[in-house]
Amino acid sequence: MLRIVVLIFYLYVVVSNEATFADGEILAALMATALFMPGMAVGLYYMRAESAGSNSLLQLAGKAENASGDGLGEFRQKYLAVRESLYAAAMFFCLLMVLVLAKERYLVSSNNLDYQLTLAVMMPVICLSVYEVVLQLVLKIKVGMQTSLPIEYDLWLSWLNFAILGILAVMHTFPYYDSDVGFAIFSAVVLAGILYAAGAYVVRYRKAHQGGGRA
Amino acid sequence: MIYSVAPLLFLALLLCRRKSYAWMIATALVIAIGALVVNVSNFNSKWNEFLLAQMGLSVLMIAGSMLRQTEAVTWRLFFRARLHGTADFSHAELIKLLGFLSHFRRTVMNVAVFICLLTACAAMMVEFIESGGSNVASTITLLDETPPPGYGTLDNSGMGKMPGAITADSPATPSALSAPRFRDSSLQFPKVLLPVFWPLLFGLVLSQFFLHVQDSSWFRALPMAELKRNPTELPSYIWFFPALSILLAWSERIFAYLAAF
Repeated sequence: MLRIVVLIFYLYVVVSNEATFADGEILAALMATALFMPGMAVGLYYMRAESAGSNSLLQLAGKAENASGDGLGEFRQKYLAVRESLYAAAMFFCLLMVLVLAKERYLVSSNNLDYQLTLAVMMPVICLSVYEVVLQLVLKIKVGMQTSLPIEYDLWLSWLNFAILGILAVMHTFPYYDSDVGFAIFSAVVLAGILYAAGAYVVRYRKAHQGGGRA
Repeated sequence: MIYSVAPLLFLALLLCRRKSYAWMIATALVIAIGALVVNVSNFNSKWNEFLLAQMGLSVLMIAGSMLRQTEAVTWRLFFRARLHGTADFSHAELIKLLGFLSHFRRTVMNVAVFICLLTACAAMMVEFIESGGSNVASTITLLDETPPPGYGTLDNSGMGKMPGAITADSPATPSALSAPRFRDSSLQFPKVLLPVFWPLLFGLVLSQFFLHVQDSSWFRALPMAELKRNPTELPSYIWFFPALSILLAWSERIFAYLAAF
């Protein structure tokens, strides 16, 4: 749900700021990231395709409905291999984008470089979120909507999505030429981190309390 | 030419995914995409020595860290497994070997990320000094990429003077000196991009190789539950890098803002 909100808001900010981008180059970079990132992730995944046996992820998902604990463990392992590959590719692209834009700045020709830098840094994260949602959706369709899969959500990705939502909000509120926007964006990242950590702790505490254990 | 390599490898991988050499094609695909993205075709051969030094440094760091933190017994286990396989290993030995391999992989990734960030910071610092952002009048460059004369120096001495206020005894200055300086970004970064990302790519491929070893035939005897895995096996601090890089990119303004208090 959070990812869908972030995606919609991202598209909204991109479209509403379209006039300040140089010749749609940011869209070209978005497309390049969206194409190359899954390619790299597929490569990284096939480098270790035999993790948890020779069955493919979809085959395992098909059998998940009436699988025993061991079969589910195999599926979980395979799914983790896929997700790790996706994350590794996304992190590579994220670092690449940041450094290219921080130094080269060829994506843009106007003066509000830092503003667009921040917008572009999110591209790999947005792509990562979209691909992960697609992967989960495909698995869900394969297994059947009623069956629940042993998939955990990832703490870091949710935090990152919260941070991006905060940055987008700041970018949308402030005009790009405001010199305080850098500080506001950095504060948004930190604030999202603190809020999210507090929320996660409260949820964990409550869950542990209900279960009768300790947090 | 270079643009068609990645799609071809991708197709090849999808067509022969259950073959034993799929691992090689997958490695080639990862390296090809990485090379495409960091723009290897624009590579200046002056960087060869720098890349070699980086690789040497990372090998030294990995070896040093591993020798410092692991026991000789585990190394012996590792070499025994390389030579004869793990068929005659006991359960405790397998667990020990598994811990050794994941430690090895984490060390490789940490060293790769460390060198990547170090190079990036050095490049940023040099660029920060050269672009006139600091008061240090410096001719520091990475690899003798000497800027053209007058490129790095910012001449503010004429500020605030009226252009018409020239008296008879004012010295005649050539107008070329006070010409506005335009930032030419093509001088610096493309040549730095490859050295910054090559160690990261190297570490990524190497650590993926260790995961591959860990997944494959060596540990068939262990049940799934004992191949303990975190949800993401990347070093967790890697997630702070986007925030860190935003801080770096904005550092000038953030420091100016803090200094205003």
